[in-house]
Amino acid sequence: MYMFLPFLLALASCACVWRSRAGLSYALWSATIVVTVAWFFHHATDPLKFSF
Amino acid sequence: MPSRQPVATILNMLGLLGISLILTVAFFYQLARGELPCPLCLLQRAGFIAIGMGFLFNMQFGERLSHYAMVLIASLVTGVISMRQVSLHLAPGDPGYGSTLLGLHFYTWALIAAVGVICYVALVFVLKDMSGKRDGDVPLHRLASDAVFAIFALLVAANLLSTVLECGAGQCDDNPVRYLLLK
Repeated sequence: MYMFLPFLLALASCACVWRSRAGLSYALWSATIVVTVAWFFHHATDPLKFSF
Repeated sequence: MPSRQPVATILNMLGLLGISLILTVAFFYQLARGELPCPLCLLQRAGFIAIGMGFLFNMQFGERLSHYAMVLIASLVTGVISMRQVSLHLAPGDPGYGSTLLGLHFYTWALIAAVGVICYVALVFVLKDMSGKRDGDVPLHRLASDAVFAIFALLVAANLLSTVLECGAGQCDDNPVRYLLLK
């Protein structure tokens, strides 16, 4: 599990913005979100003692 | 004909500056006070960066509704992550994680900021309508938008470097106290 991956993808997306590669930067943004959510589920393991 | 800066362009630039300010404050506490970010803290930073990317797309590629959708999606992701961390430390007597700013922990501020970004996008839509300019425009002041872009990109690169130093090629400790690669 690479904790730096979301930041690497975001930086790559910034580089694509700089090179005016819109499609690729959107794809890398999407990958940033997917990896961030996946890493969140990986870390959010402790059960919360709430009842609704 | 004198050129007029579209209100949405200025607001997107301000939005990106706001995100850069959030990342700078987080870095200040990390570097000046030696408080290393936990995994959930890092994911909140990644969420704010994704929010900033939406504003950046509007600035550099021209204004699109899908760019605002990206800002909203990233705000929701950031809000959920910070809400999870707030929930972890909600019990009475729990001292919370890390130091506080104006009495609130940074993950609580992250939740407030994520909700604030959603409200900000709503404000952008209203002001855009009031200004009577509905179509997207490319930024007119390239120098200003490029400078804001450079600051943001620098902060993203700095976050990448610090995360590599802190966590190496694995996952970070739940309560990190030192940089893994700087032993």
